[in-house]
Amino acid sequence: MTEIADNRILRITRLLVYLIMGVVAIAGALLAVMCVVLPFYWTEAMAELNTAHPNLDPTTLLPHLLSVFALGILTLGLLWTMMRKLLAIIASVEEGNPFVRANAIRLKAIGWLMVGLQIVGVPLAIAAGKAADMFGESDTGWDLSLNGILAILLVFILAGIFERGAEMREELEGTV
Amino acid sequence: MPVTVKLDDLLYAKRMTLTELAERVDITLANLSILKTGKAKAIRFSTLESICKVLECQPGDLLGFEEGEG
Repeated sequence: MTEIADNRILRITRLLVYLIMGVVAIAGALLAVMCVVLPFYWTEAMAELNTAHPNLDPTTLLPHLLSVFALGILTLGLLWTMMRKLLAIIASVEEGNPFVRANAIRLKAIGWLMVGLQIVGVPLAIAAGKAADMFGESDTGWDLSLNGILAILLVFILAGIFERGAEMREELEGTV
Repeated sequence: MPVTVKLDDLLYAKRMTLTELAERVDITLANLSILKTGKAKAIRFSTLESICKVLECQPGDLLGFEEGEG
């Protein structure tokens, strides 16, 4: 167990998770501020944008942008929750007690959050694509990620493994 | 559970306390207590061997089976 506790990979992973959470928090806060502020300063913003893109339609651009921001916040929220659960799992591994039912539940939750991310990705890509079209760019588009689906399946399988592991551990604890 | 542990009776017959048994079989008092109260889920052969050696009994003397319970 001490081997696991000393594992550098765990420490690096935790640092990375903290880093991701920091980026997610900053990005989320920025998007939230934009959502609130943008409608109030829309005429000024449009005046600025019109110099570079004279054909922009302000009445249709604002709803597209706001939906991109809102869906972005939702995506970041899902990511944040996922990272919190991952931190709890890392902590349990560091304690040397990873095979507990709580971790199986956490992994299942991470799996569903990943499903959520895939689902939210569809309207987000559509809204972002529409907004990008208005600027004359069309590089954004949603494509089905095989890696994402594979990762989701792996997480659910891992959750099953942890559930069985927790059962075995409980049995071992009851062995005299 | 239909399988019962008769450690209490054996200890009484030998006039031995659980603490004394724990010291002699080198099993923690907590674990022996789990066994005595019937909360154990499994018992190792090595545990059975140590207890039977100290209490001079057979595994069958330690364990019983009562149908209908559990």
